[in-house]
Amino acid sequence: MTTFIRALEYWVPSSDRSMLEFGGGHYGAATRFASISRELCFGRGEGLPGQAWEAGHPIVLKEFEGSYFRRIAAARAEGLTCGIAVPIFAGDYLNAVMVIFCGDDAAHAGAIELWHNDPHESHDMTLVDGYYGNTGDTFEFISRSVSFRRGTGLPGMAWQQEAPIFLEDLGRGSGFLRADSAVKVGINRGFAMPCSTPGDEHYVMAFLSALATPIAQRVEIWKPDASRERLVRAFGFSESEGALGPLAEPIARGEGPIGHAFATGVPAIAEPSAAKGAPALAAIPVVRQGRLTAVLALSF
Amino acid sequence: MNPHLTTKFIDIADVEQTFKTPKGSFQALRDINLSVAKGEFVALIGHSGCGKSTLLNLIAGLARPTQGVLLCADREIAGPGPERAVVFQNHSLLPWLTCFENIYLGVERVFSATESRAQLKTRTDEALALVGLTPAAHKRPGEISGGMKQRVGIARALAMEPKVLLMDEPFGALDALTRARLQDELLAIVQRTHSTVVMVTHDVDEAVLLSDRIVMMTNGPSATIGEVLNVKLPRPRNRVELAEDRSYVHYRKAVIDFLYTRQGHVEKAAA
Repeated sequence: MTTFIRALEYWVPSSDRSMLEFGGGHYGAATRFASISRELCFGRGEGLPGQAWEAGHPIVLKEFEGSYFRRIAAARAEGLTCGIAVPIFAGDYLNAVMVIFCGDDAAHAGAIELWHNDPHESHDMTLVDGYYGNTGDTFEFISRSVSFRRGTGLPGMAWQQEAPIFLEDLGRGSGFLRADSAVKVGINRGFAMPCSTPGDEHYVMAFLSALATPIAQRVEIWKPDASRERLVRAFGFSESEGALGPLAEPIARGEGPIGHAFATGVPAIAEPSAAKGAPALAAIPVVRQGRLTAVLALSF
Repeated sequence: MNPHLTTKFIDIADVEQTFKTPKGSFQALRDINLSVAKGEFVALIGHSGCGKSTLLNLIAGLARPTQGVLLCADREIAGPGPERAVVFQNHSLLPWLTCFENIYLGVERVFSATESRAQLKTRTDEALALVGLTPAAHKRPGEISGGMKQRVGIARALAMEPKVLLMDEPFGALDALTRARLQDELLAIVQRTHSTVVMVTHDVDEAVLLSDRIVMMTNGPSATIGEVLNVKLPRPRNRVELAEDRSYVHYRKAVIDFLYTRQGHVEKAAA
């Protein structure tokens, strides 16, 4: 089964904090793109990761052609058509920039949205930009017209809870406002993740995907326990097994990629292991106002 | 948003309304934050009991919030005032006065200190003309239809030159055809006067047809604002043309989705 997220990488500041260096990545079948990426680094404002660093908030780059994106030919060759760069700040300190890649071929139906609230300007969370692939214009039209209050709708829930939200079925009764429009264009899974920014503005990335191309094979949300020394699984969903129970072993700070993301506030990626039968896993820290609120684990 | 909608005019900040009842406290509204621009038309929509009318009454100054503050033109709303006229579903006309006299009464209350009787009469005549009721000026409420009574109510409100027109389901008690005609008249009046309007309605089509923004409220108790839909349909709006307009259909559907898909499941969504 292919996933809506086709590749994922992260970049970390160099020791003198003048550049972003390659931190790790999962590229699936996009091997040539992977090879090129590992050799690169980005200054502030350079390329997609550098732009996100400079802007201090996530960026959706819907079209690589003719843009500041630096790996256009390689991305085109691999069918990667859209990139989302998400900086991870701990306060004012940039921990990393994560970049997620998607494609828009017929087999990869889905949408990515970036929502924003500036508490000095409004109580609403409104759409900054979105990538809607081949989902048609109805869904995009509604998304561009509606704004959410804290706690309502998928972006509003992620904003309120300061943690990722996963809705396995966007059909009626899911809490997803645009359910009918989504289902009509084949979108049935929704996932939203609050993004960390240096100021007090709020950004939420929302991923909406179709049954045939889920966001990832497995989505888990791990949250710190009361001691903040261990992570406990707050949510888990596998495309093959369905909902995962809460009885997973807690993860200690620094243990494995998820524990590493917890300890450092920097994403961690584990390559697939045929010997262990383990898929590739990306652990993404969710940080708000310098405080880690959750670790998102995506398996591919 | 229309180009003339630039100034924040009504500002509602952190408003909560709790009523004392024989069974204890009842929180009708919580966390209400809303700004309305000068010249903007905002519809409040939601199921019965979601606190729409409570919120409108707070803006009208007919009730005080238990928490939070409401401002109109940078002044705190501390009670009713002529700058905020209310049109109720029940037209609230005095039955022993003619249409002209009902309007004149309101006009006199607001302008008698600064204007002559002739000027007050002119204002009243103009208001009657605005809603097409000049021929019925000397009829009493009992002699005219429900739609005409409601037009008198709107004329009375507009004649006082309010800064804000507050309407609580103004067409809810009318038949469909009369309602449609009055909605069209209201559209034309608002287009002409650039009035700031806050309207409570149950009617999805009415909300989309008339509004710049539709504020969708969650179910009560402890109701709050859920989502806000920006209606970017160009004005003037024509209901016949809009019926086949794709944007209109999308807006309509978004409100219906909110009311009938999501609001049966508020508790689940919030969990």
